[in-house]
Amino acid sequence: MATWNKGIFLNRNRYLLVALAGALALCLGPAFLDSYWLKFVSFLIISLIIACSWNLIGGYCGYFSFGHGLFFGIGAYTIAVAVLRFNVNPYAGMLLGGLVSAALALVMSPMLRLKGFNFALTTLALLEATKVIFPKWEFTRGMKSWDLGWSFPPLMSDTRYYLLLVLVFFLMLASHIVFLSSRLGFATAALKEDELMARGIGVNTMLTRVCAFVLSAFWVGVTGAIYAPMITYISSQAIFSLSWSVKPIIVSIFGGIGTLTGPILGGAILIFIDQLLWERFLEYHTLIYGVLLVAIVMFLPDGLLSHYDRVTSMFRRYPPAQEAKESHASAS
Amino acid sequence: MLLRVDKVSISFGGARILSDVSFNVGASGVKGLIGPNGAGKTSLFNIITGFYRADGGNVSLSGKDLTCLRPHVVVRKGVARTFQKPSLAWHLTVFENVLLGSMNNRGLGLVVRRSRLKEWTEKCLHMCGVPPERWQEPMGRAGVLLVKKVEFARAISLSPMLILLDEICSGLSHDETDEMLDLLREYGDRNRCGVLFVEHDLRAVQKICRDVVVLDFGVVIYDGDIRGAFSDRRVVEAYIGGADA
Repeated sequence: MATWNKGIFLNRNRYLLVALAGALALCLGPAFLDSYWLKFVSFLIISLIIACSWNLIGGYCGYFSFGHGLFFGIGAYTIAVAVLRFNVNPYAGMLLGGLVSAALALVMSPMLRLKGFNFALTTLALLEATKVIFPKWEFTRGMKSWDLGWSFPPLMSDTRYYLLLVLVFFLMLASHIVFLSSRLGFATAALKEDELMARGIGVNTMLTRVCAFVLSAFWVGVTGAIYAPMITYISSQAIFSLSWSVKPIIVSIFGGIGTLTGPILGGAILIFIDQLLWERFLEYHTLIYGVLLVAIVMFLPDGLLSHYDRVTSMFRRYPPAQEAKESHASAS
Repeated sequence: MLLRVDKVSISFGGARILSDVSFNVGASGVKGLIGPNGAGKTSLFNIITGFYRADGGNVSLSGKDLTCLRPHVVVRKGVARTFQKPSLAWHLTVFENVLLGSMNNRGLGLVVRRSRLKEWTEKCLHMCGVPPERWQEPMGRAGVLLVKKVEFARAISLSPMLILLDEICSGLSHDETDEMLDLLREYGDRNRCGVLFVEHDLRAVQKICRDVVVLDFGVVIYDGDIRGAFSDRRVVEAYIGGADA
């Protein structure tokens, strides 16, 4: 009989319960963590939200976006303008950050007709273009050659930022679980496997991609809007940095691309390793981190979860899908 | 009349692939679409299902115009297809591949209950003679007959009015072909569904089709009873060459 908890058929209620339990456990953080670690876990959650959101379009739909830093920056700038210029409530500003990013993703959606490197390069080009536009735009406090940036007064305590991020993390996961267990989730599974097949069985491939892209951009925008007041100062060069786009890709690949738990696992491990290296080998930490990444890509090209799959497959009747596909290819 | 193809033409670059192709397919029974390699059979399938846009002509299903609709809309109108080169999700299981089709069956409701979806998928697999012990088999490990059955099961999971089968028997042995044809016949008898059947194996065509359309260089050279097709001079010439060839 069919196994409903594996493959494309997500057990929605079970995943939602696990996500809720995880979020409740994270809520205990302020009781056990000092301010340094509380801030560290807050930044970790930010990275995880961006990675999971990127994974929705990059991992599930197979559209590698190198421009997710754009949505992060737009979210940050939206709250800056809304709160500091128009005195909007900070929470409303955070929601607005997500909505503006989602709207931008919708405007960018014709780009989803592009495929592979063309899509990746176009998103990267847009990110770089934004870096040029914002310092020249007076509305965002641009001064033609550089920008003044935005300084935030303290809006809330670190603990409240932390709890807010935990809430957003849970809501993001819940929205992904609902999305992936819906008709659109099945459509992404078909789309990822073979676009021709997906169209042949009645999947509206464009609508599927647009929905995934917009949902992905929304949560990255909300996160950017929380991040900006949390670090109290933003400038276009820092907030639109390429690292906000590249890191989620690295952690998703490391954990297991196109899986719900892969980016969380990958992000948690990689960011802890990065932190430990930074603490102990400050001067060489980037070098060691880089070598480590190369080793990971070489020895675990399909991510940590694929390794787990390989081990558990020894106890199953059929080998994991990748091996199955390879065996089919060699047979034909 | 279920499907009406009326003066459909298409060119790629300077090459005319189909010229004023016209024929009809009834609401039940299997109609063959045959012709030598390069006759334009798959191109015609791609036009009917919205993958290609015809330069001219019309395609309609039960009187509703299908011309220029996108593939997913054509599927919702009631047309399912299989591909010449099997197009399946090789990473997924046999069951999940058919499930992908069931999920797009709007007849099951806009918001489908999982139990309903599961029942329907199981029913489709049973109808195609796939035993339950093979449902969890990875698609990449499946043999040719199972691949063809899954393709057919996925097509019928959409509850279509018309199925376009593109070389569903290719790569099968005689016995396997007969098994596949029995499945088609049984499904056709139980469900009122038209089938357009592209096949190079003329033995299979003779066994299952009552009517046949023969294409040669993008032109219809015969449309009628299967018994008359192989005594038609133009059909014979198309397959084995003319007297001056």
